Amino acid sequence: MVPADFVFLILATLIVACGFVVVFHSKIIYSAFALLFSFFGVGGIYILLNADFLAGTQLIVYVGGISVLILFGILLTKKIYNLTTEETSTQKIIGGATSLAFLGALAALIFNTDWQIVTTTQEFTPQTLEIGKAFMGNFILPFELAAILLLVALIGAVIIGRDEKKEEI
Amino acid sequence: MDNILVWTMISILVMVGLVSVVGIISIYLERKVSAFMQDRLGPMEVGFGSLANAIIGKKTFKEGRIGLAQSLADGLKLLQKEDIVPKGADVFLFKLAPMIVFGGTFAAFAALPLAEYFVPADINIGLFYILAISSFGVTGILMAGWASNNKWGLLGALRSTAQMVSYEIPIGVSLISIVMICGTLSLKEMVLAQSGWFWNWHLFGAISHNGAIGIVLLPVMFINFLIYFTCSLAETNRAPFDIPEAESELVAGYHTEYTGMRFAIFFLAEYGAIFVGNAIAVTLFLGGWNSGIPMLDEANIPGIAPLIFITKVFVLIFVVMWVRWTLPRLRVDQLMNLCWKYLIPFTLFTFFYVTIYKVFLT
Repeated sequence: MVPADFVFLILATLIVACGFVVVFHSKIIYSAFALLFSFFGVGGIYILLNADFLAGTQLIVYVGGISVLILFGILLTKKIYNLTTEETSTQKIIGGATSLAFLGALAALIFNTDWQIVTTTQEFTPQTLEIGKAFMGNFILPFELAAILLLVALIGAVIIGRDEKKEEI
Repeated sequence: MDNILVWTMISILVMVGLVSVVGIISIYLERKVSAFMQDRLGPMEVGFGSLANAIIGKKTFKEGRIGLAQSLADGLKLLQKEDIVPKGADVFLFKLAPMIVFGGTFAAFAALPLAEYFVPADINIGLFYILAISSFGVTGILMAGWASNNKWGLLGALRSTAQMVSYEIPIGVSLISIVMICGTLSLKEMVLAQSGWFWNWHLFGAISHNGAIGIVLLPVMFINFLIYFTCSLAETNRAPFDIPEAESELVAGYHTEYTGMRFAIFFLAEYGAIFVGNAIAVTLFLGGWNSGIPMLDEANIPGIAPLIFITKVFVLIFVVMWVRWTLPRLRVDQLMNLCWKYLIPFTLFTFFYVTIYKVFLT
């Protein structure tokens, strides 16, 4: 077993264990923090796959952004100290059957796919340049569209967040 | 393979040493600087001699008069203190939070280029990595504030996070200008680009990249440096941006309930974060390990490069303390006004200016 496999096992365990906590823990704040570590583990997997820039982006966007947003949402709720998720399992049989069917389908898909395994012995090459060229070349339109979308969201947030008295007409 | 392993171990040990020594020296400096600014004397009694005398119980050593061992003695004291977990606190998260805050700061140390031959983790996206891994500190602070089961703690954590998240934007935009000029995210290459005379530093424009025409960037680079420095104060919750820990309102903010060594870890992480923030400023704007005089760099005096780097960082840390003991605290609305109405428009302007320079003048 090469060291990379070992690291992969650690990261995979982290991701899956945190995923379980997200779903099953009764305290919502634990779920939020577990989600954060799950995101972190995914970032680690990206590094293993030689996608360094993507890993950094994962950290900035998901760990520093999305998770903090979720935590803020939870912390600003009333009565946060006893906040628990309510579990109402009225349709256990149907729900369980659906989950099992989905699991079976996923497993079938994983085992029947002809995975293209690339050798990992190749030299590590920085990805930033390639990503930049792709953004400014073939994918300029989606890139700019995303920029406009973010600008619209930003302005929208400012307008919604404005706390001014409405002018009387 | 073995070489890499040994090298990694050495780097980790050096960095653990550095982060602790930086903490100890910064705390001592802070006490002395604040004392002198308020016309006091600061720590006087606990020199190394007095500390040794206290430990062996005899008056063998000569006692110092400038209190050099004060931080060491404080550390010894904090180690022995009782570790209290408040009754209503969430024990698991309460204990985890200081580790995460410190882990985020310490992980950022890994990419600092102390010298050309000593960059513990020479990753090609070093700058991006430091900005990304620092976001762990935010989470740790939120965790600490929530787990303490204390209103002051929670309010402090929320304020701190809001402030850190807002001020990440001007930091990012002001650093992008440098990235555009250098064409790389690797901290090592950025420093290498600034070797030679001190006017090659990015603070004075882009002379090393494009010759004399690079001087047109001088004004925007000064603005960028000032904005970055201001924002790094806010990122590390330092005065005048210390409303997360405002003593008169919030007791001590997110670490109100922490005692003993856990409290010390928060402090260590805070001073570590100040070091990292100013180390980025030195690396990007002030030439990193270059002394600014080529003859000195070429003399190859062993160990001088890390020394120059750390000295520069400590000069900036002194400025940080100077600001703290000079300026009053900003109100929350003033804080947000400063960020959104002044810093962000100015960084966008400098960004635009550098883009035009890059497109038309090079």
